[in-house]
Amino acid sequence: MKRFQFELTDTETKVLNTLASRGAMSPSQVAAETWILPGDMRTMLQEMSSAGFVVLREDSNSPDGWLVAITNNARGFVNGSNGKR
Amino acid sequence: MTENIAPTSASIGAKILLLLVILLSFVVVVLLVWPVGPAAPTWMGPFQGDLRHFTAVLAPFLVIGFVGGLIGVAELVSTFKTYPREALLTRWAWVLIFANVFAAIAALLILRATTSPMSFLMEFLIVAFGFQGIIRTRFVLAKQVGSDKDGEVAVNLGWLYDQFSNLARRQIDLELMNNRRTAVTRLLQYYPTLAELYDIALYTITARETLTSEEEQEKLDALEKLIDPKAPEHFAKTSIALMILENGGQSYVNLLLDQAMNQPDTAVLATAAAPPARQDTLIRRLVEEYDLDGLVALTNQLTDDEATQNYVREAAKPNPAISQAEQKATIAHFLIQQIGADTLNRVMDTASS
Repeated sequence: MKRFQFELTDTETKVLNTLASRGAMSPSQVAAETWILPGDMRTMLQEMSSAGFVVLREDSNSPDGWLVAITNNARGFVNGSNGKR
Repeated sequence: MTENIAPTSASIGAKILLLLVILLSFVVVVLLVWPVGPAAPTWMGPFQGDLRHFTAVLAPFLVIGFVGGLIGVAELVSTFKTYPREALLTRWAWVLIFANVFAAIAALLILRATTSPMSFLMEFLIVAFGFQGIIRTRFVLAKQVGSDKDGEVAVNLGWLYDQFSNLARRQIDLELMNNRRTAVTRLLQYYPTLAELYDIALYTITARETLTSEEEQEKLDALEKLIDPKAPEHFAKTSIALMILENGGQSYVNLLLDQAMNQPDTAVLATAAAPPARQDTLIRRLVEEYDLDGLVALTNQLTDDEATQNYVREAAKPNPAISQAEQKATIAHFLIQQIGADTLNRVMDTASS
């Protein structure tokens, strides 16, 4: 399993937990689920994407045009097992 | 769901099975159940004798034919590892299986016609293993050092079977290709968003009982590569739909499509994580019909909860780093969670009428 050179804040852990338990969703849905403001959410997701915790990509069917999903490594990191959901 | 892969092939198999069961029942009834006594008709004794003789003659051919059929099935299952059931349901699969059955029976006939009588066990070993092995083997008599097949002197005793087998496999593959294309197109039609497809694929992989941890991890990694931001959206969706089909099989895809068709209001049932389709429609309505100030006013109208009002007010503040659509979509999701989709739908319907 990949080791992350990134210390997660409580809010970031909350985002990862939400994505691990609820599956892929739009950033706006994650923001609404976690009570994080949309501007902060975008910055946070970009940082987490660079660190390899999430995949952030365009999705024309999403109301805000984006899709975010937790990576397998991050899921293992969150669950304490390698990739198991 | 009305689609059926190959109804003709399946019904032919069922008819043949039924015919065999009837024949076997007839033999059992006549030989074992029907008593030969003073009350029995005079023709019963000779008839039972003839039937016993006929059964004794026929049985080796049935056994050899059955083994030939089994080898044909095994050949198909090992060739189409991803879709064994679907491959066996195609028309050409039955052609190949019956070709194996008839070839085995013909081999036994030829063996009996050309050699001196031997025990059935010997005949069985020669036909079931020797013959089947020979028609699938290519004997290389001489091979040029360092060359590939071009430099070989070889005898392929099963050349004819090879040609026929290749033709059958190609036809089965084409038939499966059509079915796969149809299944993928329908999945994309009923599960149009990348998030839905991704979640279903993830669930399909993790729910498989027979995968080892390494295989599961390999498949999850492959899935993650498919949603890579560099991959075009349509390619990502099509590939993920194909992955669902490959991992779940045709029956599972049929189940997903059945659910989506029969319960359009709650299209995604494969995973509890995905939102109902009607929520997407509501979010789109909120995003399209309200501006940011309108959403703040709507929130204040629908709830007195200060925390909710504050969140929406903050989320609606102008922010050059993100688009208004993202702000409105966040507020729309938030309102559905805090106030409920039914209330919002009712309010919007009243406002528009």
